[in-house]
Amino acid sequence: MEKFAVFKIGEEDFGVNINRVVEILKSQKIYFLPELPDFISGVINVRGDVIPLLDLRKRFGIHTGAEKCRIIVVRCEDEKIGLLVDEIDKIIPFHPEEISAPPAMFKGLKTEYLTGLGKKEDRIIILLNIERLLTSEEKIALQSASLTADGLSNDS
Amino acid sequence: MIGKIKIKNTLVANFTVMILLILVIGQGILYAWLMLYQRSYLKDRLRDEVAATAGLIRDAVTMGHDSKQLDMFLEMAVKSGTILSVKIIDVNGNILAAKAVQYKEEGSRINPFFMFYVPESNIINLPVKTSASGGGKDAGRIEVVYSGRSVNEVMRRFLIIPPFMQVATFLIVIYAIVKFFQRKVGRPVKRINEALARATGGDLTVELSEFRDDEFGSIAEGFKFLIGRLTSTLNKLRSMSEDVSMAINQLTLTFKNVNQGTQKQTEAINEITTAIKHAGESHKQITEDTGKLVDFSNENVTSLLEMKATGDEIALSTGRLFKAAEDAYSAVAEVSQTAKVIAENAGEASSAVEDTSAAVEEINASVKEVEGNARESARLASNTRAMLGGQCLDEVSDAITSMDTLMSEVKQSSEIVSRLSGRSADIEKVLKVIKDVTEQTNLLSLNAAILAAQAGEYGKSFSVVADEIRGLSDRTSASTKEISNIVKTIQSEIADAVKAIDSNMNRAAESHTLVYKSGEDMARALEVAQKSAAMADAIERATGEQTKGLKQIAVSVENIRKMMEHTAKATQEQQTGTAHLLESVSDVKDAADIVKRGAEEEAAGIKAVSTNLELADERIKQIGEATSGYQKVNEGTADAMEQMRAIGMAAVKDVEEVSISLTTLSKEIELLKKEMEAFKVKNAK
Repeated sequence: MEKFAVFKIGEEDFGVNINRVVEILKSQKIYFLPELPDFISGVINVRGDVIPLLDLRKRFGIHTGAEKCRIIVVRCEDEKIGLLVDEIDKIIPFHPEEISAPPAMFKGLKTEYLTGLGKKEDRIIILLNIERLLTSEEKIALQSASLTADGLSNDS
Repeated sequence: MIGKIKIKNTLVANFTVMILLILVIGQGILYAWLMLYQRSYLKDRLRDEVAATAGLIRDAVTMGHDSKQLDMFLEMAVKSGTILSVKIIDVNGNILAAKAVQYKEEGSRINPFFMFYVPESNIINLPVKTSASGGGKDAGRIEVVYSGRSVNEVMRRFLIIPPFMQVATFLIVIYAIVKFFQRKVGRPVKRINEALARATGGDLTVELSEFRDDEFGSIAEGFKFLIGRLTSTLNKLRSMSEDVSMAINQLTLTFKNVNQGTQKQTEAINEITTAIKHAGESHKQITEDTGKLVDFSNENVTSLLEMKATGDEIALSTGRLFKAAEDAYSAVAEVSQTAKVIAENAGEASSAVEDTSAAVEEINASVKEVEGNARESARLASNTRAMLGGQCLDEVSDAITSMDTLMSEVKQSSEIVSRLSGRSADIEKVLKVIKDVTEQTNLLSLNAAILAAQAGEYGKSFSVVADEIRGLSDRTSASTKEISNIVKTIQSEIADAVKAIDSNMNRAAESHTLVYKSGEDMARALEVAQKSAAMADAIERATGEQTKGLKQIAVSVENIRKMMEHTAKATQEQQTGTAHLLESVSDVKDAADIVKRGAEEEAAGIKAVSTNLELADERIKQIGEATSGYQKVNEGTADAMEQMRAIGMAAVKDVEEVSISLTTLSKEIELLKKEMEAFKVKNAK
């Protein structure tokens, strides 16, 4: 049985394995740094840690009118990444039989982003694969960006 | 929710069973392999030994020993104990020589460890060939039957002793593991468990300290951090709810004040309405009285016209009298002899006097009537004056005072309501803070749930705390929304109340000016009434003087009549001297003079009375107009008052609604407070 932190973007429910989750934050001040890759909205300062912020709403092309926003900090190959989402719902445990393999395309999302689809009480929760959320070029860009950010934070 | 974990679920038990399983399976496989190896080794050795012995016998047969020697060989082979029987068989199957040892047949026991044993009897067949010189043909065979008992005995020892040793070793290992876990894991887990049980029960005063710097230490740190955050959040929430409760109590107090103010206002309005109604009734009375007065003054005018006519008649008669008297005098003076003429004249005079007397009587009656009317006028005028000066003015000034009080009450209400508005804005601020805290709590609960889930088995009980916190934050959020709605309702109701009070203020100001105007009108009416009273007094006085004058006239006319009788007597006597007559006529002339003067005076008096009456009439008409104008104003005031009262009632209703809302709010806050008090928290430092 695996547990997933379930969050909302627009009308859709997404899940991240809680072993990936570091913490959940309120909306924070987002700093813009020069030479950040396009897919990174900025960086946030979490108790001295500079964490790049990935706006999942932009990433998935879901336009929401939500005023509220939350940040889930996840661990992705030893790097922490903040994911900007609308709202955190709750922690939901899934039995393996409740998770089905994703179809080739689901609601316009490429399957490579997904671990599977979790079904629970009429809800379908899109379970994200954090590792595949970024392409390898993006990962390299992110690493160099976080190096720059670390350098900046050390300088300051 | 969190209690003792069953012993079979404990980590120690699981871990121990696991290790035991691994040990037993591993050791078992190794041991079995060893045993099999040992058996095959021993079996092969035995077989080799037996084969060697058989070889010796074959050599003996080949070498062509005689049967005696062969028998000795066989005897030697059987003696060793391992070989059970030896048979030498030729090509045709005939037994040439045989030797067997007698041993106890133990039967075919079913051995549970058959795979580790060698069968009780084994057969080796060794072919015997003729010597190389003989052609190397088959000459027969040697059959040897041997026993595996010696091998089996060694194996049995191996199967019994090592397992016992193993069991003893395992027991020691289990003991060591259990001791180790109880020391390193069991105790800290028990302490964390107890602390969690207390925290879940709502007691946040639990202390967790003296943990080593291991995983339990970090869990305890996390727990402490969460408890601390929860405690501060709860303290904030508690103080917040107390603030809100206080604010609402103040609001309720303020509302009571507003309520009282509004009630006072309503009472004041009721008083004013009653006063104005009284004033209206008095005014009606005045109008009626003034109407009567007008009737009376009309009557007066008619009487005066009559009187004037009578006066004219009197003047005519008096003129005639005077002329007659003068004629008489000249006649008497000139003619003394013409008694007939005199007598005629005297008779004429006498009849004129009679006429005069009757006319005077008539005048007297008219004047009496005028006097009565004038007196009635005076009484009514003084009545009017009294009414205007006394009750009415008092009522009007009462109304003005009430109006002033009302204005100040309304102003006070307005101030209180605007303060109330400020208070509700304060509540909104407080609500915003509560909302922030609720969101923070929600985040905290989510993070706690994640931490709990990541902690796995240990976090289970902790996740219960996280759920509780989440439930609390959800409930707080719902309450906050409700309160926010109620505050919005209150605000709109306050806005309504402000509008109502504003329109009240306007109404009150209008009424104020109306009442002032009516007061001024009253004062003007009073002035006019006083003037008309003075006029009526003057009329009365003039009429009194007139009556006096008429009395004098009556007396004079009586005198004339007496004179005339006297004259008539004298004329009848005709004996009396002309001088005497002359004297008498002179007297008559004098009297006629007096009559003339009296009549003139009377005419002047009547003129004065007439003018005064006309003036009075005009005044009365003015009073009538002023009174009807005042009545209109009064009716307007009464309407305004009625409207004001309705608005006041509406304000009271609004205020009552707000009061009900406040009570609901107060209840909500009490509930919230109780919810908060369910948590036992360390006193805020």
